Amino acid sequence: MHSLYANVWNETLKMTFKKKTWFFMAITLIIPIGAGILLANFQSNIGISAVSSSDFPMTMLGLFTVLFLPLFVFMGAADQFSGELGDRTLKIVLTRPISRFKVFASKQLSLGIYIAAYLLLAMIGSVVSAVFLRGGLSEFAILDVLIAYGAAFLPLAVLSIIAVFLAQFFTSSSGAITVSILLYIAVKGSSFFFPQVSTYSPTAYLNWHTLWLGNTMGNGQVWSVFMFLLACSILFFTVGFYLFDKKEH
Amino acid sequence: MENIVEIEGLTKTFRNQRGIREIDLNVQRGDIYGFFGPNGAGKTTVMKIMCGLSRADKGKVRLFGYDVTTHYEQAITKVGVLIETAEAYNYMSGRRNLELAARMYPGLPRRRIDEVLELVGLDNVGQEKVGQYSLGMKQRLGLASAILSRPELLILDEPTNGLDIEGTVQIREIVMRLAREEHTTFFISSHLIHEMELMCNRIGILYNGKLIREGLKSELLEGRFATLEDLFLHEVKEERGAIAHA
Repeated sequence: MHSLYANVWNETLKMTFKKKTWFFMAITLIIPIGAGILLANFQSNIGISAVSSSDFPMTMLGLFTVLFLPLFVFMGAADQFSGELGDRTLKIVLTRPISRFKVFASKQLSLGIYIAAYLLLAMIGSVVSAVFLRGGLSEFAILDVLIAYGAAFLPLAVLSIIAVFLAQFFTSSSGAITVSILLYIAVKGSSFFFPQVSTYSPTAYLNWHTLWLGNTMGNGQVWSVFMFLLACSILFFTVGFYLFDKKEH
Repeated sequence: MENIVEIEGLTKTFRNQRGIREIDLNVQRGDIYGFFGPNGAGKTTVMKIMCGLSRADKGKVRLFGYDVTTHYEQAITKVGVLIETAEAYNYMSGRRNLELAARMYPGLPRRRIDEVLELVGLDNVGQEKVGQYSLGMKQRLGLASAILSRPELLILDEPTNGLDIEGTVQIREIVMRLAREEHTTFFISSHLIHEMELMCNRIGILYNGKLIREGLKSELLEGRFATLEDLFLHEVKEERGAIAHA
């Protein structure tokens, strides 16, 4: 287990040393704060409260889970796999005393750590911004925010597993990012024309956190979506690892 | 003497039909094994299979008694590797690169990083980003990374790539010193045959994917050849003749 733990730490540090990670982290913090300030000014000027302070963190989470965080996830997955394959730096870790399975799993786990960090920053930014809006946040609203941001982790983690699977087909991060984004847009877009697509697409459940909110939380629906996402993650993780394992360097 | 590298019937064929065929060789503890062959003979293929970067179609590689396919972690624990060009994360300093590598070996003291940086002559530039290093400096960092864990076996593929004369001599001195003081075993490929002659006690000559000659250097030269270069050219010429005759 030492090698797994050590490489999770290494992979996480590697991402930390990249400037773009800090840029994305800053964006994740700045967007909700900036949006909060702008919205507060706008609403005080027109005298109508379109977005309340308790709704604001959820509105921002909706925006993050559909738009920004998938982009960051695609970039992270592409950098860790196809990017390293292209730079020929993947062999640095492959020639250390660690199995390929542990290399694959540790890279995936470090992506999970980054998703959690992005969500935490987005939550902090949103909660801080809510202060600028009228009303502030009640204790219950804060609890809802914690639950929603926590629940949003799972579909994003599944998305990262799918992104890692896609990255196995490319030897440059730019190719992997482009195709991941295009596929994401295509799947999201196709659900408008063919609603049945969304039933079988993991990307349709990025707003899974909404099921956890309020008194009308449907346990059955939460459970069935959870099982579907779990099945997707097992499937894509297994095939992703198979492709990673048979690669020659 | 204990065999720490055992290769049996190693075969791999690429799509272009080139590759390696039925390679059998052993490296004993304390050997400095020179692996020769013209470009494209299959030296890097053998070395990549030895350290798990590539898979053989047939045959086995055992390091310290462990099969690299089935017990990779155990097989590679006491092995340092430098294959082809040394790679490093350009966005980090040389020292940070070594810190990442050191984390994979529990119990390795942090001062070892300073030791290896000094050994390869990078102690003054350890804090600089690798992206600013020259090819030779990257190669030295690759060597530092390979010897970091005090491996008992070092697999070095063209370790003097990109190095100037001074750097080449320095690599030779490091190899000789590690062999003498730490009893490190080496498996080295290099096209610098003179350098290899000064270092190796055992050699293997690979030609067209086949190991055509293998043994102790002293026995192979045996008064018939003045230098390793003469032996190499003779063996290659004979093999070419045999192929043409067939």
